[in-house]
Amino acid sequence: MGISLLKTAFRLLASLKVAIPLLVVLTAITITGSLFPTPDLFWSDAYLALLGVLGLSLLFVTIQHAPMILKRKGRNALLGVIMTHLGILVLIAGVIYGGYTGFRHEIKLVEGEVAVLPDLPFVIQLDALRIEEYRPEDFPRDNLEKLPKKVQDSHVTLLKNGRPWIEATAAPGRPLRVDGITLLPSITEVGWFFDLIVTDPLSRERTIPVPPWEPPVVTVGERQVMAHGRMLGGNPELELFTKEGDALVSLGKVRKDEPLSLDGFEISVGPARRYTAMQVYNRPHEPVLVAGSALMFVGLVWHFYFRHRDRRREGRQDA
Amino acid sequence: MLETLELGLFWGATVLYGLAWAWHLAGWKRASQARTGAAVGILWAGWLLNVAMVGLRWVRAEHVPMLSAFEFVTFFAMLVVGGFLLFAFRERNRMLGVFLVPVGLLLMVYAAFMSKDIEPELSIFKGLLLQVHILTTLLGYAAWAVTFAASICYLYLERKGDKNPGLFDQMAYRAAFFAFAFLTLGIITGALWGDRVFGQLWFWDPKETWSFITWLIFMAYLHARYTLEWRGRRAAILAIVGFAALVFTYVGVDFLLPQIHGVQEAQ
Repeated sequence: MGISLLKTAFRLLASLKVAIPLLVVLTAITITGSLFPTPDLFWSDAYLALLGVLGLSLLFVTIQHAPMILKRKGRNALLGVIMTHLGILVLIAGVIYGGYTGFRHEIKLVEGEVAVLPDLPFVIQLDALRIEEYRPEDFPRDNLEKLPKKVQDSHVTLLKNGRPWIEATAAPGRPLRVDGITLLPSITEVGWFFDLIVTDPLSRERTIPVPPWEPPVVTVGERQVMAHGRMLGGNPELELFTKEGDALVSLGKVRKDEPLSLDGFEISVGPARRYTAMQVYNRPHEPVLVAGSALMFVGLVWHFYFRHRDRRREGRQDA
Repeated sequence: MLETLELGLFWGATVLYGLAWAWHLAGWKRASQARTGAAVGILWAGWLLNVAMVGLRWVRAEHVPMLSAFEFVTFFAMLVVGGFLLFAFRERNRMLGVFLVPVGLLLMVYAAFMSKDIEPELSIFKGLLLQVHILTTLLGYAAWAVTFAASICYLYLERKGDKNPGLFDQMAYRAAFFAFAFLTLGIITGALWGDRVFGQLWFWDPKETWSFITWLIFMAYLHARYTLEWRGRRAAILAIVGFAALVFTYVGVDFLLPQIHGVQEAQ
């Protein structure tokens, strides 16, 4: 029963009557998904399954046609064809395997702070973030601020058991790889992290972090206050807001050496620190992807070289 | 001074490509081998100017001249015309020029409307991987342009009742194989570069998706020839569909769909 089911499945998938409609359907879905974007279509199990079935079908078609390819095109050409199709299948298998294994964290790292993540045998500390922007003389264009940075180096220390283990630099395009784990700073999500210092009428001081990705609501006396920070000429500036009805009302700006008094409270700004978003991930299926890609490409070159060599020797034409 | 020289080389190559096409058309219409031979000579001159322009750009920009839109397009034109010259050593193959030279010419005209300023190499663009990605992808595109032109030649000769249009069918197939291999390598190296910069091998961004669609069509073409024994007309039509997908991937996507590619422009 089981074997006959497998035979039927093989016959079905090895048939061009199935392979070609599969290819057409896959192409049509891909075109439609590109022109009318559907969230997560290309990452859906159904799409990946369709890719997998097509890969299997291509391989089975090749196996089914192997005697014909052997007879008409020679042993070396057949070997190349099989290698290429196996490569595609290995690649698809790697993609599907990758969907169920490994881990990926997206974190925000602030200068001087550490990130402790599950799955990681070490702690990441961002020592310093060195940023250099392109200058107008580097780039003759207006929207310089929209370009990636000229230099965007995250100097990190990896700590094991509380002690420094590895010191290294990571940047977009130059990820740090340690024990199969990759640390890649974001190319776009970098900026400044501010501290708001609130001193109450009894001179008690509170330091409140103001992460730009999640600005806090701070209680100052009777008021609920929000802060929006920016760097101005190398100095931090925080604008404070409160909500009155549905409207946001500005309460004033706080700068270095220019605190703001509010209902008996004094609000000042601490030194600004840089932060970067960072992807931390491992990819256990990477060797499978590399093997699949290599097999596919070597198979293509192999097939083409030997096929034409054999054809030339026989004085025959190509496909 | 060098900038003016580069511009002169660019316009010189463009004008010579235009003249070569006109001579190709004249040679084709009047069945004159002498005119077609002259067209190939003019094209060689234009191509050498194109190569010199790209070389000068390389020296001036201090990076491989494939990063800005202008560099990319002029480099591509150089590969397309070079692809034709590679096939044009046989007299009969020269008919290909009627359909392939305008592709190179159109690319140069397209480049004429682009900014010719040199832009420094962004730090994320440094490294061999991206250069290999762009070069292999362009080689794949250029090879398919040969497949396209050869397929048109085939269809034309078949319609005219020529005895041996199969020569162009063979040429289309050979170029298609190169195109498929290079595009495969281009997609793989592009995925590896994307991984280093964005942390993901594949995004399904429109350029990637359309490269994949183009790759699927190239694959369908080769499989149609191998397993379905498609030759001649049907294969030629599929090759033209593949070229349309390529043009959309290369030009249409940039205008119609937002994407990661072209970080320099889109960011």
